[in-house]
Amino acid sequence: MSRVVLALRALVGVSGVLALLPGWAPGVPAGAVLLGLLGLAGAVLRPGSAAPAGVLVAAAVAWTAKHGTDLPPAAATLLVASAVATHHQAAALAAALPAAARVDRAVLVRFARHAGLVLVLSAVVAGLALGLPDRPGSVPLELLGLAAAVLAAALPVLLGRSDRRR
Amino acid sequence: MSGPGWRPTAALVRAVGLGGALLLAAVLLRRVDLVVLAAPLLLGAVLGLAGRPYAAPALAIRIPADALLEGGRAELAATVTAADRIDVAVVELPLPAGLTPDSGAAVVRAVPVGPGVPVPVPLSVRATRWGRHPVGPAVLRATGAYGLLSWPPVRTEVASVTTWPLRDGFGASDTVPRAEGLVGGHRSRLPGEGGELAGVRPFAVGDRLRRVNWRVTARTGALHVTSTYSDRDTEVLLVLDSTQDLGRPPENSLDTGVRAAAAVAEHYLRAGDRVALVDLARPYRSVPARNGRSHLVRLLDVLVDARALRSDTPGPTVTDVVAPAAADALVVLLSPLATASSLTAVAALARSGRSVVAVDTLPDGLRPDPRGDWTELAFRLWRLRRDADLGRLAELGVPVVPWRGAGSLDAVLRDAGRAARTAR
Repeated sequence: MSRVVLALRALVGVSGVLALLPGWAPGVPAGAVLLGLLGLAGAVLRPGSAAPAGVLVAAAVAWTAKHGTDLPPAAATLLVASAVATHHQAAALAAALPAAARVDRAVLVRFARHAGLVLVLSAVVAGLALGLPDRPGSVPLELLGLAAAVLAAALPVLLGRSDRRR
Repeated sequence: MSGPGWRPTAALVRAVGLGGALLLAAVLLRRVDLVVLAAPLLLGAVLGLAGRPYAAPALAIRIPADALLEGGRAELAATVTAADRIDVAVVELPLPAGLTPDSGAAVVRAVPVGPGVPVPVPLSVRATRWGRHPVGPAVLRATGAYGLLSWPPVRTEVASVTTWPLRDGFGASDTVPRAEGLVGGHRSRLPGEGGELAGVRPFAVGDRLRRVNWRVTARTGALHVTSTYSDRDTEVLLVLDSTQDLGRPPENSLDTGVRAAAAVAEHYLRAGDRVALVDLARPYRSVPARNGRSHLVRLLDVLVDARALRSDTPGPTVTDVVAPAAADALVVLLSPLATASSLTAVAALARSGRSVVAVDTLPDGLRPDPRGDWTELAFRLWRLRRDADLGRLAELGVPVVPWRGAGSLDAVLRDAGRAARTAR
Protein backbone atom coordinates (compact mmCIF):
# COMPACT_ATOMS: atom_id res chain seq x y z
CA MET A 1 0.00 0.00 0.00
CA SER A 2 1.42 3.38 -0.95
CA ARG A 3 2.10 5.98 1.69
CA VAL A 4 -0.48 8.42 0.40
CA VAL A 5 -3.20 5.80 0.37
CA LEU A 6 -2.17 4.69 3.83
CA ALA A 7 -2.33 8.27 5.10
CA LEU A 8 -5.75 8.74 3.51
CA ARG A 9 -7.09 5.58 5.13
CA ALA A 10 -5.69 6.80 8.45
CA LEU A 11 -7.47 10.11 7.93
CA VAL A 12 -10.71 8.25 7.24
CA GLY A 13 -10.24 6.35 10.48
CA VAL A 14 -9.30 9.33 12.67
CA SER A 15 -12.07 11.57 11.35
CA GLY A 16 -14.54 8.71 11.78
CA VAL A 17 -13.50 8.29 15.42
CA LEU A 18 -13.94 12.03 15.99
CA ALA A 19 -17.38 11.96 14.36
CA LEU A 20 -18.40 9.04 16.59
CA LEU A 21 -17.11 10.60 19.81
CA PRO A 22 -20.57 11.87 20.91
CA GLY A 23 -21.69 8.23 20.91
CA TRP A 24 -19.80 7.58 24.14
CA ALA A 25 -22.21 9.74 26.15
CA PRO A 26 -25.00 8.14 28.25
CA GLY A 27 -28.37 7.86 26.59
CA VAL A 28 -27.01 7.09 23.17
CA PRO A 29 -28.34 3.83 21.69
CA ALA A 30 -25.63 1.14 21.82
CA GLY A 31 -26.73 -0.09 18.40
CA ALA A 32 -25.73 3.19 16.81
CA VAL A 33 -22.29 3.02 18.38
CA LEU A 34 -21.84 -0.60 17.28
CA LEU A 35 -22.96 0.26 13.76
CA GLY A 36 -20.53 3.17 13.76
CA LEU A 37 -17.59 1.07 14.89
CA LEU A 38 -18.30 -1.68 12.38
CA GLY A 39 -18.74 0.94 9.68
CA LEU A 40 -15.48 2.56 10.68
CA ALA A 41 -13.55 -0.66 10.19
CA GLY A 42 -15.26 -1.13 6.84
CA ALA A 43 -14.60 2.47 5.81
CA VAL A 44 -10.88 2.12 6.45
CA LEU A 45 -10.63 -1.17 4.62
CA ARG A 46 -13.09 -0.45 1.80
CA PRO A 47 -13.77 3.27 1.52
CA GLY A 48 -15.69 2.76 -1.71
CA SER A 49 -18.37 0.69 0.02
CA ALA A 50 -21.41 1.82 2.03
CA ALA A 51 -19.35 1.65 5.24
CA PRO A 52 -18.52 5.39 5.41
CA ALA A 53 -22.25 6.11 5.11
CA GLY A 54 -22.77 3.79 8.08
CA VAL A 55 -20.25 5.79 10.10
CA LEU A 56 -21.95 9.07 9.25
CA VAL A 57 -25.45 7.74 9.99
CA ALA A 58 -24.23 6.40 13.33
CA ALA A 59 -22.54 9.72 14.09
CA ALA A 60 -25.71 11.67 13.24
CA VAL A 61 -27.92 9.37 15.33
CA ALA A 62 -25.50 9.53 18.26
CA TRP A 63 -25.31 13.31 18.01
CA THR A 64 -29.08 13.74 17.85
CA ALA A 65 -29.70 11.26 20.66
CA LYS A 66 -27.08 12.80 22.91
CA HIS A 67 -28.53 16.29 22.84
CA GLY A 68 -32.23 15.50 22.56
CA THR A 69 -34.12 18.72 22.03
CA ASP A 70 -31.42 20.95 23.50
CA LEU A 71 -29.24 23.08 21.31
CA PRO A 72 -25.68 21.69 21.60
CA PRO A 73 -22.62 23.91 22.08
CA ALA A 74 -21.52 25.64 18.89
CA ALA A 75 -17.88 24.53 19.21
CA ALA A 76 -18.83 20.89 19.59
CA THR A 77 -21.21 21.19 16.64
CA LEU A 78 -18.51 22.66 14.44
CA LEU A 79 -16.03 19.98 15.53
CA VAL A 80 -18.38 17.12 14.69
CA ALA A 81 -19.42 18.80 11.42
CA SER A 82 -15.74 19.13 10.45
CA ALA A 83 -15.13 15.48 11.33
CA VAL A 84 -18.14 14.42 9.27
CA ALA A 85 -17.00 16.51 6.31
CA THR A 86 -13.42 15.25 6.52
CA HIS A 87 -14.51 11.64 6.80
CA HIS A 88 -16.76 12.03 3.78
CA GLN A 89 -14.17 13.78 1.60
CA ALA A 90 -11.30 11.48 2.60
CA ALA A 91 -13.42 8.40 1.95
CA ALA A 92 -14.43 9.77 -1.47
CA LEU A 93 -10.80 10.24 -2.47
CA ALA A 94 -9.60 6.99 -0.92
CA ALA A 95 -12.31 5.12 -2.82
CA ALA A 96 -10.89 6.42 -6.09
CA LEU A 97 -7.34 5.27 -5.32
CA PRO A 98 -6.17 1.65 -5.50
CA ALA A 99 -4.00 0.55 -2.60
CA ALA A 100 -0.79 0.43 -4.63
CA ALA A 101 -1.33 3.68 -6.52
CA ARG A 102 1.34 6.32 -6.63
CA VAL A 103 -0.62 9.51 -6.30
CA ASP A 104 0.37 12.65 -8.10
CA ARG A 105 0.74 15.62 -5.79
CA ALA A 106 -1.67 17.65 -7.94
CA VAL A 107 -4.49 15.22 -7.10
CA LEU A 108 -4.02 15.83 -3.40
CA VAL A 109 -3.76 19.59 -3.86
CA ARG A 110 -6.96 19.66 -5.91
CA PHE A 111 -8.92 17.66 -3.34
CA ALA A 112 -7.48 19.64 -0.44
CA ARG A 113 -8.47 22.89 -2.12
CA HIS A 114 -12.01 21.61 -2.69
CA ALA A 115 -12.28 20.38 0.89
CA GLY A 116 -11.03 23.74 2.16
CA LEU A 117 -13.59 25.63 0.09
CA VAL A 118 -16.38 23.36 1.32
CA LEU A 119 -15.32 23.85 4.94
CA VAL A 120 -15.17 27.62 4.55
CA LEU A 121 -18.62 27.82 2.96
CA SER A 122 -19.96 25.40 5.56
CA ALA A 123 -18.56 27.62 8.27
CA VAL A 124 -20.45 30.55 6.75
CA VAL A 125 -23.64 28.48 6.66
CA ALA A 126 -23.00 27.37 10.25
CA GLY A 127 -22.49 30.96 11.34
CA LEU A 128 -25.76 31.99 9.76
CA ALA A 129 -27.67 29.00 11.12
CA LEU A 130 -26.32 29.17 14.66
CA GLY A 131 -26.74 32.93 14.73
CA LEU A 132 -30.45 32.84 13.97
CA PRO A 133 -32.65 33.88 16.88
CA ASP A 134 -34.65 31.01 18.38
CA ARG A 135 -38.23 31.80 17.47
CA PRO A 136 -41.35 29.69 18.04
CA GLY A 137 -42.16 27.62 14.97
CA SER A 138 -45.10 28.12 12.71
CA VAL A 139 -46.68 25.86 10.12
CA PRO A 140 -45.80 28.03 7.10
CA LEU A 141 -42.20 28.38 8.33
CA GLU A 142 -41.84 24.66 8.82
CA LEU A 143 -43.32 23.97 5.38
CA LEU A 144 -40.89 26.46 3.93
CA GLY A 145 -38.03 24.70 5.72
CA LEU A 146 -39.13 21.32 4.40
CA ALA A 147 -39.30 22.69 0.88
CA ALA A 148 -35.83 24.17 1.26
CA ALA A 149 -34.50 20.84 2.54
CA VAL A 150 -35.99 18.95 -0.38
CA LEU A 151 -34.63 21.52 -2.81
CA ALA A 152 -31.16 21.37 -1.26
CA ALA A 153 -31.09 17.59 -1.57
CA ALA A 154 -32.57 17.65 -5.08
CA LEU A 155 -30.02 20.06 -6.46
CA PRO A 156 -27.08 17.61 -6.43
CA VAL A 157 -29.35 14.94 -7.87
CA LEU A 158 -30.23 17.20 -10.79
CA LEU A 159 -26.59 18.13 -11.31
CA GLY A 160 -25.53 14.49 -11.20
CA ARG A 161 -27.92 13.28 -13.88
CA SER A 162 -25.84 11.49 -16.50
CA ASP A 163 -28.02 12.24 -19.53
CA ARG A 164 -27.38 15.96 -19.38
CA ARG A 165 -25.04 17.30 -22.05
CA ARG A 166 -23.47 20.66 -22.49
CA MET B 1 -29.60 0.15 -23.48
CA SER B 2 -27.39 3.02 -22.49
CA GLY B 3 -23.63 3.03 -23.06
CA PRO B 4 -21.00 3.81 -20.51
CA GLY B 5 -21.34 7.10 -18.75
CA TRP B 6 -20.50 8.96 -15.58
CA ARG B 7 -22.14 7.11 -12.72
CA PRO B 8 -22.77 8.31 -9.18
CA THR B 9 -20.41 6.84 -6.62
CA ALA B 10 -21.16 5.78 -3.08
CA ALA B 11 -19.88 9.21 -2.01
CA LEU B 12 -22.61 11.01 -3.99
CA VAL B 13 -25.32 8.73 -2.66
CA ARG B 14 -23.95 9.29 0.83
CA ALA B 15 -23.80 13.06 0.51
CA VAL B 16 -27.29 13.46 -0.96
CA GLY B 17 -28.98 10.81 1.16
CA LEU B 18 -27.48 11.76 4.48
CA GLY B 19 -27.43 15.49 3.78
CA GLY B 20 -31.09 15.49 2.80
CA ALA B 21 -32.06 13.36 5.77
CA LEU B 22 -30.20 15.66 8.15
CA LEU B 23 -31.93 18.72 6.69
CA LEU B 24 -35.34 17.11 7.02
CA ALA B 25 -34.53 16.07 10.58
CA ALA B 26 -33.37 19.61 11.29
CA VAL B 27 -36.73 21.01 10.18
CA LEU B 28 -38.84 18.35 11.87
CA LEU B 29 -36.89 18.35 15.15
CA ARG B 30 -36.22 22.08 15.01
CA ARG B 31 -32.52 21.37 15.48
CA VAL B 32 -30.44 23.99 13.70
CA ASP B 33 -27.22 22.13 14.55
CA LEU B 34 -28.26 19.37 12.14
CA VAL B 35 -28.17 21.96 9.36
CA VAL B 36 -24.54 22.56 10.28
CA LEU B 37 -23.84 18.82 9.97
CA ALA B 38 -25.64 18.61 6.62
CA ALA B 39 -24.03 21.71 5.12
CA PRO B 40 -20.61 20.28 4.16
CA LEU B 41 -22.16 17.19 2.63
CA LEU B 42 -24.59 19.06 0.40
CA LEU B 43 -22.29 22.00 -0.34
CA GLY B 44 -19.51 19.62 -1.31
CA ALA B 45 -21.87 17.76 -3.62
CA VAL B 46 -23.16 20.93 -5.30
CA LEU B 47 -19.70 22.43 -5.72
CA GLY B 48 -18.28 19.17 -7.03
CA LEU B 49 -21.09 18.53 -9.48
CA ALA B 50 -21.06 22.12 -10.76
CA GLY B 51 -17.83 21.34 -12.62
CA ARG B 52 -18.64 17.73 -13.39
CA PRO B 53 -17.34 16.00 -16.53
CA TYR B 54 -19.64 14.82 -19.28
CA ALA B 55 -17.36 13.53 -22.04
CA ALA B 56 -15.82 10.09 -22.12
CA PRO B 57 -12.16 9.76 -21.18
CA ALA B 58 -9.78 7.91 -23.51
CA LEU B 59 -6.62 5.93 -22.94
CA ALA B 60 -3.85 4.87 -25.31
CA ILE B 61 -0.57 3.10 -24.65
CA ARG B 62 2.71 3.60 -26.45
CA ILE B 63 5.44 0.98 -26.41
CA PRO B 64 8.93 1.12 -27.91
CA ALA B 65 8.99 0.21 -31.58
CA ASP B 66 12.40 -1.42 -31.37
CA ALA B 67 13.06 -4.67 -29.61
CA LEU B 68 14.82 -4.54 -26.25
CA LEU B 69 17.87 -6.44 -25.15
CA GLU B 70 17.86 -8.42 -21.95
CA GLY B 71 18.68 -6.09 -19.10
CA GLY B 72 17.77 -3.11 -21.27
CA ARG B 73 15.44 -0.35 -20.23
CA ALA B 74 12.51 1.17 -22.04
CA GLU B 75 9.89 3.78 -21.44
CA LEU B 76 6.27 2.73 -21.80
CA ALA B 77 3.62 5.41 -21.68
CA ALA B 78 -0.11 5.50 -21.25
CA THR B 79 -1.77 8.72 -22.36
CA VAL B 80 -5.07 9.88 -20.90
CA THR B 81 -7.19 12.38 -22.76
CA ALA B 82 -10.54 13.86 -21.84
CA ALA B 83 -12.60 16.78 -23.06
CA ASP B 84 -13.63 17.59 -19.48
CA ARG B 85 -11.64 17.80 -16.31
CA ILE B 86 -10.99 14.53 -14.50
CA ASP B 87 -9.99 14.83 -10.87
CA VAL B 88 -8.44 11.39 -10.49
CA ALA B 89 -7.36 9.28 -13.43
CA VAL B 90 -5.93 6.02 -12.13
CA VAL B 91 -3.88 4.32 -14.81
CA GLU B 92 -2.78 0.75 -14.32
CA LEU B 93 -0.35 -0.87 -16.72
CA PRO B 94 0.05 -4.56 -15.89
CA LEU B 95 3.45 -5.97 -16.76
CA PRO B 96 4.27 -9.56 -17.69
CA ALA B 97 6.92 -11.62 -15.91
CA GLY B 98 9.67 -10.66 -18.34
CA LEU B 99 9.36 -6.92 -17.68
CA THR B 100 9.78 -5.33 -14.28
CA PRO B 101 9.23 -1.72 -13.32
CA ASP B 102 12.44 0.20 -12.93
CA SER B 103 13.45 1.10 -9.42
CA GLY B 104 11.03 3.71 -8.16
CA ALA B 105 8.55 3.24 -10.99
CA ALA B 106 4.93 2.42 -10.16
CA VAL B 107 2.59 0.42 -12.35
CA VAL B 108 -0.43 2.18 -10.85
CA ARG B 109 -0.46 5.97 -11.02
CA ALA B 110 -3.12 8.49 -10.10
CA VAL B 111 -2.98 11.80 -11.97
CA PRO B 112 -5.35 14.69 -12.65
CA VAL B 113 -6.33 15.42 -16.24
CA GLY B 114 -7.16 18.86 -17.56
CA PRO B 115 -9.76 19.41 -20.25
CA GLY B 116 -8.37 18.67 -23.71
CA VAL B 117 -4.82 18.22 -22.49
CA PRO B 118 -3.31 14.75 -23.05
CA VAL B 119 -1.57 13.58 -19.91
CA PRO B 120 1.20 11.01 -20.42
CA VAL B 121 1.77 8.55 -17.63
CA PRO B 122 5.25 7.13 -18.22
CA LEU B 123 6.44 3.83 -16.85
CA SER B 124 10.12 2.94 -17.00
CA VAL B 125 10.65 -0.81 -17.29
CA ARG B 126 13.57 -3.19 -17.47
CA ALA B 127 13.56 -6.33 -19.60
CA THR B 128 14.56 -9.28 -17.44
CA ARG B 129 13.86 -12.13 -19.83
CA TRP B 130 13.75 -12.64 -23.56
CA GLY B 131 10.48 -13.29 -25.32
CA ARG B 132 7.42 -11.56 -26.66
CA HIS B 133 5.83 -9.96 -23.64
CA PRO B 134 2.19 -8.94 -23.72
CA VAL B 135 1.81 -5.54 -22.07
CA GLY B 136 -1.60 -4.54 -20.88
CA PRO B 137 -4.38 -4.08 -21.33
CA ALA B 138 -3.83 -0.76 -19.63
CA VAL B 139 -6.81 0.19 -17.50
CA LEU B 140 -8.09 3.69 -16.76
CA ARG B 141 -10.41 4.32 -13.82
CA ALA B 142 -11.61 7.90 -13.98
CA THR B 143 -13.24 9.76 -11.13
CA GLY B 144 -14.76 13.20 -11.53
CA ALA B 145 -16.62 15.78 -9.44
CA TYR B 146 -14.27 15.20 -6.53
CA GLY B 147 -15.07 11.56 -6.11
CA LEU B 148 -18.81 11.83 -6.72
CA LEU B 149 -18.87 10.41 -10.24
CA SER B 150 -16.91 7.62 -11.85
CA TRP B 151 -16.52 6.23 -15.35
CA PRO B 152 -16.46 2.47 -15.95
CA PRO B 153 -12.94 1.11 -16.50
CA VAL B 154 -11.49 1.93 -19.93
CA ARG B 155 -9.22 -0.78 -21.32
CA THR B 156 -6.74 -0.61 -24.19
CA GLU B 157 -5.64 -3.38 -26.51
CA VAL B 158 -2.81 -5.66 -25.44
CA ALA B 159 0.51 -4.55 -26.90
CA SER B 160 3.59 -6.66 -27.34
CA VAL B 161 7.14 -5.82 -26.33
CA THR B 162 9.85 -7.99 -27.82
CA THR B 163 13.01 -8.68 -25.89
CA TRP B 164 15.84 -10.29 -27.77
CA PRO B 165 17.92 -12.89 -25.96
CA LEU B 166 21.08 -10.83 -26.18
CA ARG B 167 23.00 -9.49 -23.27
CA ASP B 168 26.73 -10.00 -23.39
CA GLY B 169 28.09 -10.85 -26.78
CA PHE B 170 29.77 -14.15 -27.53
CA GLY B 171 33.34 -13.80 -28.67
CA ALA B 172 35.46 -16.53 -30.18
CA SER B 173 39.03 -15.64 -30.95
CA ASP B 174 39.79 -18.78 -32.88
CA THR B 175 38.60 -19.47 -36.39
CA VAL B 176 35.89 -21.83 -37.40
CA PRO B 177 37.12 -25.40 -38.00
CA ARG B 178 36.56 -25.34 -41.75
CA ALA B 179 36.18 -22.13 -43.71
CA GLU B 180 34.45 -23.03 -46.92
CA GLY B 181 33.40 -19.94 -48.85
CA LEU B 182 35.52 -17.91 -51.20
CA VAL B 183 35.25 -14.72 -49.24
CA GLY B 184 34.57 -13.91 -45.65
CA GLY B 185 35.93 -12.64 -42.42
CA HIS B 186 37.74 -15.74 -41.15
CA ARG B 187 41.41 -16.43 -41.60
CA SER B 188 41.63 -19.64 -43.55
CA ARG B 189 44.40 -22.19 -43.08
CA LEU B 190 45.09 -21.91 -46.79
CA PRO B 191 47.25 -19.17 -48.31
CA GLY B 192 45.53 -16.69 -50.55
CA GLU B 193 44.29 -13.15 -50.79
CA GLY B 194 43.55 -11.84 -47.34
CA GLY B 195 44.62 -9.53 -44.58
CA GLU B 196 46.25 -11.99 -42.15
CA LEU B 197 50.03 -12.30 -42.51
CA ALA B 198 51.15 -15.89 -43.19
CA GLY B 199 54.88 -15.25 -43.84
CA VAL B 200 57.47 -14.16 -46.37
CA ARG B 201 58.51 -16.55 -49.15
CA PRO B 202 60.47 -16.43 -52.39
CA PHE B 203 58.68 -15.05 -55.42
CA ALA B 204 56.89 -17.62 -57.58
CA VAL B 205 55.29 -17.33 -60.96
CA GLY B 206 51.83 -15.88 -60.63
CA ASP B 207 52.55 -13.72 -57.59
CA ARG B 208 51.38 -10.14 -57.90
CA LEU B 209 53.95 -7.41 -57.95
CA ARG B 210 52.24 -5.50 -55.17
CA ARG B 211 52.95 -8.48 -52.91
CA VAL B 212 56.73 -8.07 -53.27
CA ASN B 213 58.36 -7.43 -49.92
CA TRP B 214 61.05 -4.95 -50.95
CA ARG B 215 62.76 -4.85 -47.56
CA VAL B 216 63.45 -8.61 -47.49
CA THR B 217 64.24 -8.58 -51.22
CA ALA B 218 66.88 -5.86 -50.67
CA ARG B 219 68.40 -7.69 -47.74
CA THR B 220 68.57 -11.13 -49.36
CA GLY B 221 69.10 -10.08 -52.96
CA ALA B 222 66.33 -12.45 -54.13
CA LEU B 223 62.78 -11.47 -54.88
CA HIS B 224 60.45 -12.24 -51.95
CA VAL B 225 56.73 -11.74 -51.49
CA THR B 226 54.53 -11.40 -48.45
CA SER B 227 52.06 -14.24 -48.27
CA THR B 228 48.73 -14.06 -46.47
CA TYR B 229 46.01 -16.44 -45.45
CA SER B 230 42.88 -16.22 -47.48
CA ASP B 231 39.82 -14.75 -45.80
CA ARG B 232 36.86 -17.07 -46.00
CA ASP B 233 33.45 -17.45 -44.55
CA THR B 234 31.65 -20.51 -43.29
CA GLU B 235 28.22 -21.76 -42.53
CA VAL B 236 27.23 -22.18 -38.93
CA LEU B 237 24.20 -24.28 -38.15
CA LEU B 238 22.67 -23.68 -34.76
CA VAL B 239 20.54 -26.56 -33.54
CA LEU B 240 18.44 -25.62 -30.54
CA ASP B 241 17.05 -28.52 -28.56
CA SER B 242 13.88 -27.08 -27.07
CA THR B 243 12.17 -30.43 -26.67
CA GLN B 244 13.09 -30.26 -23.01
CA ASP B 245 13.50 -27.47 -20.51
CA LEU B 246 15.16 -28.27 -17.20
CA GLY B 247 15.59 -26.00 -14.22
CA ARG B 248 13.82 -22.81 -13.31
CA PRO B 249 14.14 -19.41 -15.00
CA PRO B 250 16.36 -17.56 -15.42
CA GLU B 251 18.87 -20.43 -15.15
CA ASN B 252 16.82 -23.02 -17.00
CA SER B 253 18.23 -24.95 -19.90
CA LEU B 254 15.96 -23.39 -22.55
CA ASP B 255 16.87 -19.85 -21.52
CA THR B 256 20.56 -20.70 -21.54
CA GLY B 257 20.23 -22.37 -24.94
CA VAL B 258 18.34 -19.47 -26.48
CA ARG B 259 20.78 -16.91 -25.09
CA ALA B 260 23.75 -18.93 -26.27
CA ALA B 261 22.24 -19.38 -29.74
CA ALA B 262 21.61 -15.64 -30.05
CA ALA B 263 25.13 -14.77 -28.91
CA VAL B 264 26.79 -17.28 -31.24
CA ALA B 265 24.63 -16.13 -34.15
CA GLU B 266 25.46 -12.50 -33.53
CA HIS B 267 29.16 -13.26 -33.34
CA TYR B 268 29.37 -15.22 -36.57
CA LEU B 269 27.07 -12.89 -38.48
CA ARG B 270 29.20 -9.97 -37.43
CA ALA B 271 32.19 -11.87 -38.79
CA GLY B 272 30.43 -12.19 -42.14
CA ASP B 273 29.47 -15.84 -41.88
CA ARG B 274 26.21 -17.46 -42.83
CA VAL B 275 24.16 -18.75 -39.95
CA ALA B 276 21.24 -21.15 -40.04
CA LEU B 277 18.96 -22.13 -37.19
CA VAL B 278 16.95 -25.24 -36.47
CA ASP B 279 14.65 -25.55 -33.49
CA LEU B 280 14.24 -29.26 -32.90
CA ALA B 281 10.84 -28.80 -31.30
CA ARG B 282 9.61 -26.79 -34.28
CA PRO B 283 11.61 -27.84 -37.31
CA TYR B 284 9.06 -26.18 -39.59
CA ARG B 285 10.40 -22.81 -38.43
CA SER B 286 13.96 -23.50 -39.51
CA VAL B 287 15.88 -20.52 -40.79
CA PRO B 288 18.14 -21.17 -43.77
CA ALA B 289 21.71 -19.92 -43.80
CA ARG B 290 22.11 -16.26 -44.70
CA ASN B 291 24.34 -13.48 -43.53
CA GLY B 292 23.91 -9.86 -42.62
CA ARG B 293 22.34 -7.76 -39.94
CA SER B 294 18.79 -8.32 -41.14
CA HIS B 295 19.36 -12.06 -40.90
CA LEU B 296 20.23 -11.67 -37.24
CA VAL B 297 16.85 -10.03 -36.70
CA ARG B 298 15.21 -12.96 -38.47
CA LEU B 299 17.03 -15.46 -36.27
CA LEU B 300 16.17 -13.57 -33.11
CA ASP B 301 12.53 -13.39 -34.16
CA VAL B 302 12.46 -17.17 -34.26
CA LEU B 303 14.42 -17.55 -31.03
CA VAL B 304 12.09 -15.33 -29.01
CA ASP B 305 9.26 -17.73 -29.80
CA ALA B 306 11.15 -20.75 -28.48
CA ARG B 307 9.05 -22.79 -26.09
CA ALA B 308 9.62 -26.16 -24.53
CA LEU B 309 7.46 -28.42 -26.67
CA ARG B 310 7.43 -32.11 -26.16
CA SER B 311 5.62 -34.05 -28.85
CA ASP B 312 4.72 -37.71 -28.61
CA THR B 313 4.47 -38.03 -32.35
CA PRO B 314 7.85 -38.69 -33.92
CA GLY B 315 8.99 -35.78 -36.05
CA PRO B 316 11.86 -35.57 -38.50
CA THR B 317 15.18 -36.88 -37.19
CA VAL B 318 18.00 -34.50 -36.47
CA THR B 319 19.85 -35.90 -39.48
CA ASP B 320 16.91 -34.96 -41.71
CA VAL B 321 16.73 -31.51 -40.17
CA VAL B 322 20.36 -30.65 -40.74
CA ALA B 323 20.56 -32.30 -44.15
CA PRO B 324 20.14 -29.03 -46.10
CA ALA B 325 23.18 -27.54 -44.34
CA ALA B 326 26.49 -27.44 -46.15
CA ALA B 327 28.76 -30.45 -45.75
CA ASP B 328 31.44 -28.30 -44.14
CA ALA B 329 29.09 -26.44 -41.85
CA LEU B 330 29.95 -26.03 -38.22
CA VAL B 331 27.05 -27.48 -36.25
CA VAL B 332 26.53 -26.01 -32.80
CA LEU B 333 24.00 -28.05 -30.85
CA LEU B 334 22.55 -26.36 -27.79
CA SER B 335 20.96 -28.93 -25.56
CA PRO B 336 20.76 -30.02 -21.92
CA LEU B 337 21.74 -33.48 -23.23
CA ALA B 338 19.48 -35.04 -20.67
CA THR B 339 17.79 -37.75 -22.67
CA ALA B 340 18.96 -40.66 -24.75
CA SER B 341 17.31 -39.14 -27.82
CA SER B 342 19.32 -35.93 -27.58
CA LEU B 343 22.55 -37.88 -27.11
CA THR B 344 21.66 -40.05 -30.09
CA ALA B 345 21.04 -36.89 -32.10
CA VAL B 346 24.52 -35.62 -31.30
CA ALA B 347 26.05 -38.92 -32.32
CA ALA B 348 24.10 -38.83 -35.57
CA LEU B 349 25.33 -35.33 -36.28
CA ALA B 350 28.90 -36.38 -35.65
CA ARG B 351 28.53 -39.27 -38.06
CA SER B 352 27.31 -36.89 -40.77
CA GLY B 353 30.89 -35.71 -41.14
CA ARG B 354 30.34 -32.16 -40.03
CA SER B 355 32.19 -30.44 -37.24
CA VAL B 356 29.92 -30.65 -34.25
CA VAL B 357 30.15 -28.75 -31.00
CA ALA B 358 27.65 -29.59 -28.29
CA VAL B 359 26.88 -26.78 -25.88
CA ASP B 360 25.67 -28.24 -22.61
CA THR B 361 22.86 -26.04 -21.30
CA LEU B 362 22.02 -28.12 -18.24
CA PRO B 363 21.90 -25.77 -15.24
CA ASP B 364 24.73 -26.30 -12.76
CA GLY B 365 22.51 -26.20 -9.72
CA LEU B 366 19.80 -28.44 -11.11
CA ARG B 367 18.02 -30.31 -8.33
CA PRO B 368 15.10 -32.69 -8.82
CA ASP B 369 11.75 -32.10 -7.17
CA PRO B 370 11.59 -34.54 -4.26
CA ARG B 371 9.18 -37.34 -5.09
CA GLY B 372 10.28 -39.95 -2.61
CA ASP B 373 13.13 -41.36 -0.62
CA TRP B 374 14.94 -42.49 -3.74
CA THR B 375 14.83 -39.20 -5.63
CA GLU B 376 18.28 -38.06 -4.57
CA LEU B 377 19.92 -41.39 -5.30
CA ALA B 378 18.18 -41.69 -8.65
CA PHE B 379 19.31 -38.22 -9.59
CA ARG B 380 22.91 -39.00 -8.71
CA LEU B 381 22.79 -42.18 -10.78
CA TRP B 382 21.35 -40.23 -13.69
CA ARG B 383 24.15 -37.66 -13.43
CA LEU B 384 26.77 -40.43 -13.42
CA ARG B 385 25.24 -42.07 -16.45
CA ARG B 386 25.03 -38.74 -18.24
CA ASP B 387 28.68 -38.03 -17.51
CA ALA B 388 29.58 -41.40 -18.97
CA ASP B 389 27.51 -40.66 -22.10
CA LEU B 390 29.21 -37.29 -22.54
CA GLY B 391 32.54 -39.06 -22.28
CA ARG B 392 31.48 -41.40 -25.06
CA LEU B 393 30.52 -38.40 -27.18
CA ALA B 394 34.01 -37.01 -26.66
CA GLU B 395 35.37 -40.31 -27.91
CA LEU B 396 33.27 -39.79 -31.06
CA GLY B 397 35.01 -36.46 -31.53
CA VAL B 398 32.18 -34.28 -30.29
CA PRO B 399 33.39 -31.75 -27.75
CA VAL B 400 30.81 -30.95 -25.10
CA VAL B 401 31.23 -27.59 -23.45
CA PRO B 402 29.04 -25.87 -20.87
CA TRP B 403 27.89 -22.38 -21.79
CA ARG B 404 29.78 -19.78 -19.80
CA GLY B 405 29.10 -16.71 -21.88
CA ALA B 406 31.61 -14.96 -24.07
CA GLY B 407 34.62 -17.11 -24.91
CA SER B 408 32.88 -20.38 -24.05
CA LEU B 409 33.70 -22.04 -27.33
CA ASP B 410 37.25 -20.82 -27.91
CA ALA B 411 39.07 -23.92 -26.78
CA VAL B 412 36.54 -26.19 -28.39
CA LEU B 413 36.71 -24.45 -31.77
CA ARG B 414 40.47 -24.61 -31.67
CA ASP B 415 40.36 -28.35 -30.98
CA ALA B 416 37.68 -28.89 -33.60
CA GLY B 417 39.72 -27.03 -36.19
CA ARG B 418 42.75 -29.11 -35.36
CA ALA B 419 40.71 -32.28 -35.67
CA ALA B 420 39.27 -31.17 -39.00
CA ARG B 421 42.74 -30.55 -40.44
CA THR B 422 43.96 -33.89 -39.18
CA ALA B 423 41.05 -35.67 -40.80
CA ARG B 424 41.86 -34.09 -44.14
